[in-house]
Amino acid sequence: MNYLVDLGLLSVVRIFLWALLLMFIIFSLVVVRQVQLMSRVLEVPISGGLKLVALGLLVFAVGIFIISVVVL
Amino acid sequence: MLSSVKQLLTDHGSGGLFSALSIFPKSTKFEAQDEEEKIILLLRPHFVTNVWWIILTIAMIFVPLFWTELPVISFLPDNYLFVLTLFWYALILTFVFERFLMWFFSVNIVTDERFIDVDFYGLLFKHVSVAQLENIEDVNYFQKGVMAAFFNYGDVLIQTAAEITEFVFNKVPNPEKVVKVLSELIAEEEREALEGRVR
Repeated sequence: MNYLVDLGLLSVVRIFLWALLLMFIIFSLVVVRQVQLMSRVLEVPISGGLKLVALGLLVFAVGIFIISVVVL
Repeated sequence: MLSSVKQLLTDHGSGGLFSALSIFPKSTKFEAQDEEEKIILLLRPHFVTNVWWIILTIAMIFVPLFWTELPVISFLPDNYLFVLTLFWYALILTFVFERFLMWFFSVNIVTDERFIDVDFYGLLFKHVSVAQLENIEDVNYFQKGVMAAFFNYGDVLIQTAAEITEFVFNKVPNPEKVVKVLSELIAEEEREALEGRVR
């Protein structure tokens, strides 16, 4: 019985984690867009680097989501 | 034209890319900058104002070490903890990046014609105010607190006759020098107006 309860609880946690990760992906997309807008307001030599970092974070967010689908 | 301003700033280096006080910054442009317009000062809040989130980040890095101590999380199997830990570090990276962006892009720009105050509040809201130097009526600064006195930063207040009557350059380094530079630029603008050299 406890096992079944645990299993149900874990399903809830899993769905909750996936929802969080999806929101995080959307937020990472916002960050990418925001860096583009910020770089337009102030053009600096590292603008390209900052865009790369933002893209890296987006890739990381998508990567974690894929890992979570595989692992959980 | 800017020699008097340059003279004021001779004891200060030009400042690097991440400096809170850049003088005649190279390879830097802003939106709607005129071709002949020169950036004289590029100001950000003093770097020490970032210390709170750097300390918070360092503390956050160690939180996953205590996952098992937290009753809400401790019952989760290892694979869940693994994903949660990855997510946590992604959050930290994003937090650091977001805080850096806020600091790096919320700038005050002083050119030979006007000054621009760019403020980003969170990632979704920005506020850009512009006023001509000739509209400045009064410039002063104040420092409050031990940190401000110790690290020599403060708020520069600019009263203008423009639509927005008050501008604040928040927590900028060396506020006394910034006020001197602004005063010199205003005087220069007045001289230009008298001599009919207005662009």
